[in-house]
Amino acid sequence: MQEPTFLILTALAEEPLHGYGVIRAVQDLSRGDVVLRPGTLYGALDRLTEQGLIEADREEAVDGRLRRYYRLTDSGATALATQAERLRRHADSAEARLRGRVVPGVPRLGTAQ
Amino acid sequence: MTAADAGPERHYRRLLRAYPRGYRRRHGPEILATLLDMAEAGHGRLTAGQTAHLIACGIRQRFRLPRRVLPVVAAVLAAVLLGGFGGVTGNWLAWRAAPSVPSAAESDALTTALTGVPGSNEYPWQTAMNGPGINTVLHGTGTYDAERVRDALIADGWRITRFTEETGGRIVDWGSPTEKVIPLLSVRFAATKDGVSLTGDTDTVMGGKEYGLDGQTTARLDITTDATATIVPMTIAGAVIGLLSGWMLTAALAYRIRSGTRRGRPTAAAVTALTAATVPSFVAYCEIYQVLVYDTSNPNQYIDYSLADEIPASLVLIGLPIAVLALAAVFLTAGRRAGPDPVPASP
Repeated sequence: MQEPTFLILTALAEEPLHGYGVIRAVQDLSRGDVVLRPGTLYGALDRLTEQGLIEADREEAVDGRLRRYYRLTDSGATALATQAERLRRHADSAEARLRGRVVPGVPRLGTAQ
Repeated sequence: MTAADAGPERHYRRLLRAYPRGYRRRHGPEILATLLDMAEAGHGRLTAGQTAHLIACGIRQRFRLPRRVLPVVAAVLAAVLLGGFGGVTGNWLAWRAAPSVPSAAESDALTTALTGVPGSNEYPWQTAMNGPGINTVLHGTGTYDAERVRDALIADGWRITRFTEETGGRIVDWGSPTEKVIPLLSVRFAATKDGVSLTGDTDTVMGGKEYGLDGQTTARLDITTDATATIVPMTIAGAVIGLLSGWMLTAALAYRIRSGTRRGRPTAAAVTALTAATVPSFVAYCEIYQVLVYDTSNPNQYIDYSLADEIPASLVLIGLPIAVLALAAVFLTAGRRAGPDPVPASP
């Protein structure tokens, strides 16, 4: 699962959001690192809908603008949880490795002399 | 929608035309709303990069297929088949822009001027690269005059590149005690004019009155349009456009078929169209092959052999209309629903 996809699913985890809502949520979640462009967003929403990971929740017309809200499906929640667990494992492994990193001239902590 | 939205909205609607129509119908309004929301939230109008990205996404969407095996197989087949037809069309268009060979009447007039003998026969033909050609053959009784040949070519605007006079003979009563060689004078020549090449020769029998041969004249002209620099590139470009069109057409039809509840008929029609187009497309690829491998410096522009020669023309003549009709049937039946169409929601 690519990072934008992961972030879109994460954005929809709590509550249904419309297109611009997803863009804002992804920007917040990534602390500004990922700013989705509309073309990318709707390509991803279309693909995720086809995969059954999200679905249309409702449509609202505000000031003549049609806003379609998307929500995470059960299948999407499972896929997101699996990916989150996978990323957590990878992050834990990375941190563990970094703790054991040998820096020349600096003795490793906890190593018996 | 406020009046202030009208300008950007028009601009965004134009950009959304990059997306296929069906996709625009499903997602156009919400993408538009998102773009306007973004503009309102301080992102401003789309930058050139964002605009290009949106257009690129729309074009990419036109090539996107449903995640099924059948549409992918159909797209590959359609791309290959239409690639063949595209190549032949590109080649045809390139030749339309090239100079044309003289008409039958013009060739006849030239042959008459060369030999002083009227009544030649003309046979139009195509070179190995599908370029136009015309063959002229004349049999009659005349007189030998090399200068007349040269003057007639120059008067008709041809630039002579080769001109030789030869002597020969015609054997009569061959193998018998009265066997005899009657002298023969020939002129062999080549010329060019405005991107058209001509090769030809004339033979005149000098004597042999007792055999009815004296003055017997034969002339042959072979006129072809030279291959221009655009023939091969346009053939390749046509094939590429055909490939892309085949893929895009399948993508559009696949989504249209999927949106309907009656999918059997359009699917069967699509399979029929692909099957019927196979033989004509194969012949088209043979043509393209001839165009691509042809040595333009070869003075003999005839095709020695093509695999397409093995295929009866009737298969092409039957296959093409069936493929076109079946494709029309796909368009007509795709997207149909079993029940009455739902009433569209009012905007």
